[in-house]
Amino acid sequence: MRSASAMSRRKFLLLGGGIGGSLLATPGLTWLGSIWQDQEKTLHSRLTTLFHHQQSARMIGRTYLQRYPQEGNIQVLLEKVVAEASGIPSDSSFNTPPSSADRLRRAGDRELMDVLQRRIRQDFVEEKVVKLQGWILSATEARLCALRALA
Amino acid sequence: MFVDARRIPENQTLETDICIIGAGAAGITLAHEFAGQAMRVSVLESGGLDVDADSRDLNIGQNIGRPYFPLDVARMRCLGGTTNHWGGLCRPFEDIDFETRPWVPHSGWPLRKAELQPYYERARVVCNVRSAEWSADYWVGRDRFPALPFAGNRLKTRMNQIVPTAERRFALNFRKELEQAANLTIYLYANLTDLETNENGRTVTEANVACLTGARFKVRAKQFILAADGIGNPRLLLLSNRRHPAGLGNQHDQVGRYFMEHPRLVTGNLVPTNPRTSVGLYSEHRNLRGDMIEGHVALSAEDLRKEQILDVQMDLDPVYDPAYLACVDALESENVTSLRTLLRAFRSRAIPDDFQRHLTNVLNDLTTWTNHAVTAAPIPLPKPEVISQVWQADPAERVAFLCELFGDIAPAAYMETFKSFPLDHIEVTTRIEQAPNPDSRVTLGPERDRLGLNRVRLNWQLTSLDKRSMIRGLEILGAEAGGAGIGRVQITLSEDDTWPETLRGGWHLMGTTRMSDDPRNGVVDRNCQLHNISNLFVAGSSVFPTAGSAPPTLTLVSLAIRLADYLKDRLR
Repeated sequence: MRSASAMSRRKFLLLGGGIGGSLLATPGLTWLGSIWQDQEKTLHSRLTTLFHHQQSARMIGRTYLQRYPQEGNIQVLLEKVVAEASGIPSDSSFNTPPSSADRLRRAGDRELMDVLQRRIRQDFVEEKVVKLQGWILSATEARLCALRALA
Repeated sequence: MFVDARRIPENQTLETDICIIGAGAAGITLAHEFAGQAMRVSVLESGGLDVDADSRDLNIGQNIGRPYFPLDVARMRCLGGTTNHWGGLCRPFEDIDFETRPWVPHSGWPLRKAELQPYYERARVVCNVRSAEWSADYWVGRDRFPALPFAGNRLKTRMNQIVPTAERRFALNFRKELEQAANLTIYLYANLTDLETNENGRTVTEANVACLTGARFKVRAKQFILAADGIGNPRLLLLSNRRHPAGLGNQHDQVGRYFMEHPRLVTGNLVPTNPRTSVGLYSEHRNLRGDMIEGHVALSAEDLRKEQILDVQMDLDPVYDPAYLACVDALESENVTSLRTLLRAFRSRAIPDDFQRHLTNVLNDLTTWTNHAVTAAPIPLPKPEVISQVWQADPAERVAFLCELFGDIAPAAYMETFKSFPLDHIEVTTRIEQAPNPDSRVTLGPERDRLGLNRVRLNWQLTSLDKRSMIRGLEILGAEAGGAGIGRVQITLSEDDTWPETLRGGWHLMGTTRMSDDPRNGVVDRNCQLHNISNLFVAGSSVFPTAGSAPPTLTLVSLAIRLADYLKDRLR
C-alpha cells in the first residue's frame, strides 16, 4: 500500500487543466455536462458542451490538434465523430450514414450520450486510441476535445 | 551435523558421496531430499549460521552495466542464503514460459511445465506454501476484494501466494533436520575456491575449499552440485580453470551469459472512473481464509503470442486522495505498530520486549474518544462542539476528524479491512520477463577477494524487446480499462530504447548457467548436469533458460527436488 503523493493527481489534473483532466472529472465520460435541449443548436455546439471540465477538454483538444493538424477543422472532426458513432451497432437510429448527423442532432440528451459512450468504449475495444502526453484516450473522446478547442 | 570448517586440519581430504556447494534455498532443498538416504552428503556453506561481515565481503563485485543492487546486498552468505531476506512470493511458471517462442530469441526450455508439475507440488510443501490451488478463479472467488472487470479476455489476474514471514527462512525451517540427519554434514565457513577434474577433464574429482582463517582442505565426492546463486554459480565455474582455461563447462562461452532479472519499474497510472474502485486484491493481504495472497494483472498467453512480446505483469498500487492521508498514515503509526507487536507476541505465546509501552499505546489509542465525550454521561456521547465540527466539515475533513476522535487503531482497522478510501489514482508498476540476452553477463573481474579469487563483474543489459513489451502491456491495459469503463491509463515511461535510472530488478538472479539440450546454447542439460562433465550439476535459478514473470523460488526448489530424485536413482 502506498500513501498519496503530495498533491492529488486527480485534482492536479483538474486544477492544472492538464491532459486527461476533463476525462477524470467526467467519470467514464458520462457527459454530465448539460446537453442543450434546444433543437436549433448545431450538433457542433451540442458536442462541445458535453464536458464538465471545459478547460481540461480544451487542453486535450489542443494537444490532439498539434499531433493531428490535418484534423484542425470543425467539419472534418464532426464528420469523423459522426462516422464513427454511426458505426455503432445499436438499438438507436444512428446507423444509416447519410443521415447520421441529422439524427444525432435530433437525438435527445440521453440517446446522444449513450451513443457516444458506447462509441468511446468500442474505440478502446478496437484500439482506436490516441496517445496524448502518455494518456491513452479513445479517438472519439480526443476528437470531441478537439472540437471543444476549436469552439 | 554442523561442522565449523575452520577447525578442520590443514590439507585434510574429506570423502563423501554428494558434495553440495551452497546452503541457500536450492542447497537446503537438496540436503532435505537426501536426508535419511543411504548416501553421505556434505554441504559447503561459505558463511555461518548468521550473516557476518567477512563472509559478506566475499560477495562484493562490480556492476558495469545497468544500475543494479550492490552484489553483496543482493546475495547472502550464511545458512539459508537469500531466503533470509526472501519476500515469500510464490507462483509456478506459466506453460508458455517453457515454450520456444520464435519472437523471443534463445527461448525454450528442454522441459515442459507438465514435467515439472509433480515437483511444483513437492516444492510447495518445502516452501511452506499453504494451498495447492493456483488458479486465479479459485482465489478471486474466495476473496473479499473483486478482480477488476476488464473489457475482454486479453488481461487476466494471476495470484501469488505469500509464505508467512515466520515460515520463510529455510535456515530455521530445516536446521533441526540438517543437524540431526545422520548422513548430512554441513560445513560452515567453507568457501569453494575451485573444482578439479581428472586428466581428461570430464569428471570432477575434488573441491578445493578455503576458510578466511587461512585453512584449506579438499572434498572428494562422487557427485558435485553447485548451488551457490545466480552469480556465484558461474563465478565458481569460471574460477575452475586449471584444466579448462575458459572455466568448467565453458567450452562454448556460455557460462555467465544470459543474466536475467525481472526488470521492474513504475510505468504509469490508472485513473479510475470510480474513485471507490477496489484494488485490494492487488495488494498483499489476507483473504477470507487467512491465506496471504497478492494479485497481479497479466496478459493472456494468446495475447503474448499475438503481440509477440515477453510476459508482462502489472502491479496496481492504490494512491489515496490526500484528504484521507490521515487514515492511511494511521497504518504506520506507533500505536498500530504496538498493537501488531502485541498480537504477534500473543500468537506465539510470548511477551514482547517493552510490553508495558506497547500496552499503554494501545489502551491510550482505544480510549482516545473519551477526550471528546461528555463527562459523566450515562452513555458515550460526543461533546456538542465536536458534533458541530464534524457536521460542518466536508467529507474528506470529516475522515480526518474521525481519526482525531478515534485514534489510529480504528481507522487503520477499517483501512485494512475494506481498503476502500477514495483513490486519487492507481500506480502501475510493470514487471517483465527479461529477454535472454547473451550480452547480459557475469564475468571475472581483475580485483581479488581475501581468498585470492577474482571478484565478479556484472554487466546487466536489456534489449528493445524488453522495452516494447513493457509499453505494449500498458497500452493493452489502457485499452482494456477504457473499454470496460474502469478508467484511463497514462504511460509515464518513454517509448524510446532508453531506461530510466529508477529501473531495478526483483532481486532475482537468473540464467547464467542456462539449461539446453544443445551444449552450444547452454551450460547444463535437462537434468541440470554440466554438458561433458559426468558428475557436476547446477541447482538454482541460474539454470533457467527464460525467466517468466513469476518469482523464481518455487521453480528453483522444484528443479532442486527433481535433481535430487535423479541423483538418488543414479546412486542407487
